Parts: sequence; structure tokens; C-alpha cells
Amino acid sequence: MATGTITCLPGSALFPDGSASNLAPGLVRVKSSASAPSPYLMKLLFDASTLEQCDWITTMPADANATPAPVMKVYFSMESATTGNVIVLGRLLAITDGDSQDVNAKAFGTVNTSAATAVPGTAGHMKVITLTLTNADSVAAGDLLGIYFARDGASGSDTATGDMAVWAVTVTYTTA
Amino acid sequence: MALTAGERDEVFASFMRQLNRPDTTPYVKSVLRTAIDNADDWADANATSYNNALNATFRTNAVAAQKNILLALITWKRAGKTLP
Repeated sequence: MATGTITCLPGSALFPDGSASNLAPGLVRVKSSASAPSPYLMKLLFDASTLEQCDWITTMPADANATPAPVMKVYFSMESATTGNVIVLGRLLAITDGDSQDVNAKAFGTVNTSAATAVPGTAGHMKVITLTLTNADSVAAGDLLGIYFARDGASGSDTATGDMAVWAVTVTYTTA
Repeated sequence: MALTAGERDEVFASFMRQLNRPDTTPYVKSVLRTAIDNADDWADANATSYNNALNATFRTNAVAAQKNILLALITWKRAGKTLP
């Protein structure tokens, strides 16, 4: 068995409409301050005071095993905070070929909540959060797959001030 | 009159949206939230002193909101921010 990876990048994120309980992060293009040729990156900026969310739609690869549970990895840095913790949420949405499910009415599965993760001691430095998606909406190989990510800035355990920059989100799975 | 708790929460959220690189914040949210209480309490306790510092004509003719805006713009500019 090996590990497969689904990579979700800021540029392909889908954003909610900004209504109550549907707040979106900001999407920013960044030019590195390094000398030319300067890398350009995109980041999602999640507020510190509320819950902001986004999602990606893809498919679960044909070689994926349902067990063990897939694992979400979040590549992040903080815009200004050098102390405190962040709380992130992950959900999956899975629809199988032939399911009696209107795709237009499908909801995400039960939330998976990370432990409080200490932010890097220097703003701009990157760290990776690992979140096991124990609640995986019964995802199986070949399913239509939705991946939800949020920072729960409203949580009392999310103590870091300022925006959380997310550079990439991955979902890893064990292959058959 | 001091801000309500809800209004202080609004300031809390807005303050964090103003944070941009290369600003760093070596303090957690609870510390910041308490500082907002501290600042608003100070403003409330020193409102009379501030009012007395204004020249008599302005003090007599300007309404409270204008006096608050004046102080806000002064401190905003002192923070190095672009005026609205």
C-alpha cells in the first residue's frame, strides 16, 4: 500500500456567498520579495474573529482505500501573530455512482475539528496542521468528492490574532 | 458613554483586519480584547479632560460625534494610516 494525495490550491477554491454562516476567506496574490525571478503565490486569508470557509470539488481516485481515514494537511502561516493557537475544521462530501442523492441538495458530512495548533513563532513562517478526517461521509474510490476547510476564528480555543494564511490543503489517502 | 460589549467586539474584529505584514502581534486575542476594554474605559474616564482641551468655540459648537471623529482621525494618522 502507498499514500495518494489530493492537492487543493487557493486558486481553485470555491467561496460561499458571504451570508450569515457562509463567510469566505480572502484570496490574495503575493509577489515574493525575493530577487527576480520572484515567485508569485496565492494565499487564502482567514479572519481571526469569525468562522470563514471554502471548499473544493474533485473526485476520489480509483485507487483509494476507504480505510484508514483520509488525512487533511493544512500548509499555513500567520500574517502577524507570533503566539497563540488556531482551530481548523475539515469536512468531506461524497456521492457514489448511482446514489439516490440530488447533487444540488447534498450536504457536507460531520465536521472534523483540529486540536488547537500553536502558530509559528515568526510571522510568515510555515507550519503544517494534520487533521484526520474520521468523519469521511463514507467516501469510496471513484466518488464525487467535496473537501471543506474552515478556520474557526470564533472558537474560544483559537487564540492567535490576525489572519491565517493558507497556502495549500491536501487530503492524503491509503491506496488499495 | 462607553461602548457596549457588542461594539467593543466590533472594534476587536476590525482591529485584527487592520493587521498587515510586517506588523507582528506577540499577544493572544484575550489580551487584545482586554486592551480594547482598557482603551474605551480610558476614553470614557477622560472624556471631560479631552473636551476641555478643545478650544472654546469648537467645544461649544461641535457635537460629540464630531469631537470623537476628530480624535479618531488624529490617532489614525499618528498610526501611520492613510486617512479615509
